[in-house]
Amino acid sequence: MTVNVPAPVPSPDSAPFWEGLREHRLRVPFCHVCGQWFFPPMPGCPECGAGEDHVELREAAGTGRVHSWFVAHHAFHPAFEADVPYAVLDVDLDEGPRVNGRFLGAPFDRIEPGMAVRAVFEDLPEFTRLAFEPAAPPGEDRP
Amino acid sequence: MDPFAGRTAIAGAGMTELTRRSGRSVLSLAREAALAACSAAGLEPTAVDGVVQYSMYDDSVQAEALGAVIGARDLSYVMDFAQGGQSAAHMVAHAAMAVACGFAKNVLVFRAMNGRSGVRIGQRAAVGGGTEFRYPLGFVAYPQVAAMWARRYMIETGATELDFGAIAIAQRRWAERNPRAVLREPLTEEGYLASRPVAEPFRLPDCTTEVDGAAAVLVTSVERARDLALTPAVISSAAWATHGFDLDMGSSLRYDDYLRNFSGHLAGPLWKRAGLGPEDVDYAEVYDCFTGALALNMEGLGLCAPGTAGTFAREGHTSPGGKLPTNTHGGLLAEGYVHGMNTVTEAVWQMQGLGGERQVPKNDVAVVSSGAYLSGSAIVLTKDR
Repeated sequence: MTVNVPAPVPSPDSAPFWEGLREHRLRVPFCHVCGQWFFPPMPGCPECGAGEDHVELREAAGTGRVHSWFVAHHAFHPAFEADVPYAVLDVDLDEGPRVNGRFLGAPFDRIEPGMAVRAVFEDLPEFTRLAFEPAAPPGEDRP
Repeated sequence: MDPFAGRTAIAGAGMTELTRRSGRSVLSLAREAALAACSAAGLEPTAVDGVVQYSMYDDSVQAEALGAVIGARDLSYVMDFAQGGQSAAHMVAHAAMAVACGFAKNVLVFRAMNGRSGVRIGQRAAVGGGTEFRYPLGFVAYPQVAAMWARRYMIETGATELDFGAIAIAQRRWAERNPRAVLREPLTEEGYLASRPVAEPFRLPDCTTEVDGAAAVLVTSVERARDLALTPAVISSAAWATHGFDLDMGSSLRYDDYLRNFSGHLAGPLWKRAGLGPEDVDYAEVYDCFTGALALNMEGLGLCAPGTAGTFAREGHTSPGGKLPTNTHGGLLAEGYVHGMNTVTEAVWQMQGLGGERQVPKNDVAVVSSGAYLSGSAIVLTKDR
């Protein structure tokens, strides 16, 4: 039996993020009061406290650097049993905020701290999820 | 004079056995642990007038239900706190505040769960908060959160997987001496390396062991505790810290420094309120849902230098006979996961001389911490003289 990947249940705060991924665009909250980008989406700016009317989900470049990662060997949810092992990254976007995404496009032993990555978009039947692949050819990853 | 420090004490502690399938209700487990704590202290359960408990995903029972089932009369203080490993020391602090401020005289603090046969927190799909940004990726369980922090710890400190292994190995030495512990087989470096990877860099021995069981302590004033059966474990300080939070406790996206968890943020006020420092600690009971969390808690509290928790364990300092006995029950890693409440009961028993085969030689000052990453709590206990 196939178990579906748990689909996000977008809130009014996060819906533009998920709509953006479906269009293969990474949209991240930006505060017009303090000029900071942040993540995750929330109804107010965590940097300065400005209200949600001042927050816009704006397209980010999709580039960043690896902060940390783990490699899952045990699937804690049946939907991921066929995927193990897989890697999930902490990525610090060039605009500042940190996001999580799957690692694609290279073996796990390619992952290094500070490695430059760029966003790629994995289309699943119900939604699109965020992933990252190396931004540079092998041997040219280091900052 | 500090309105909190040194006014209250833990008079007694109690636990059930720990199993993988209790076959009992959570309320039955809670009752047994609570009555054991009252009995140890020599207090009639009818004298209990406050009850405090914490739960995740509604896996426990209400404070008031426990009051009913132990035959307590009217309650003048209750608290049901919906958080996890952060809670144990914080709930003791709440009970102590209630006593110090005169809201109640004798407050039971408990954690009860069928954590293995019922709701398994480590594998439970939570909803809400920031989960919608993690779960679709397969980032669904706390061992993975812990692994993400551990990898960054390795990057910044140069620590290796064997440093985490050294922590698991040291704690297993204590568990060998603890009949209640669920993992009592000795653990070697070879055994650690050969064990199953869960969320790399973590293997199975880096992760807590889920169990069914309950733990409870009785908090009262120092004066009343002196009239009871056992040496009072005086609550000399307590502190809570939340840092870098965004939408839920599994999200670290806004956390600035994975080398400094909540404990690094509460250590200052904790030690100041106690009038003591980490150098005064005789033994430590430190939250360890994962080996990596234990490292951050030891270092954050100032018990060892940043980046050295693995070396500190490997050198034997935390083991039986070491200079800082740590997690003398085997910890959550080896005794079992009663969500850190068993970390409190162990601290109390050691201070009351009830440590049995694992009794520490010097037991005047103990630190107890609860929590792993974004938020948590700690208390300092001192033996009444």
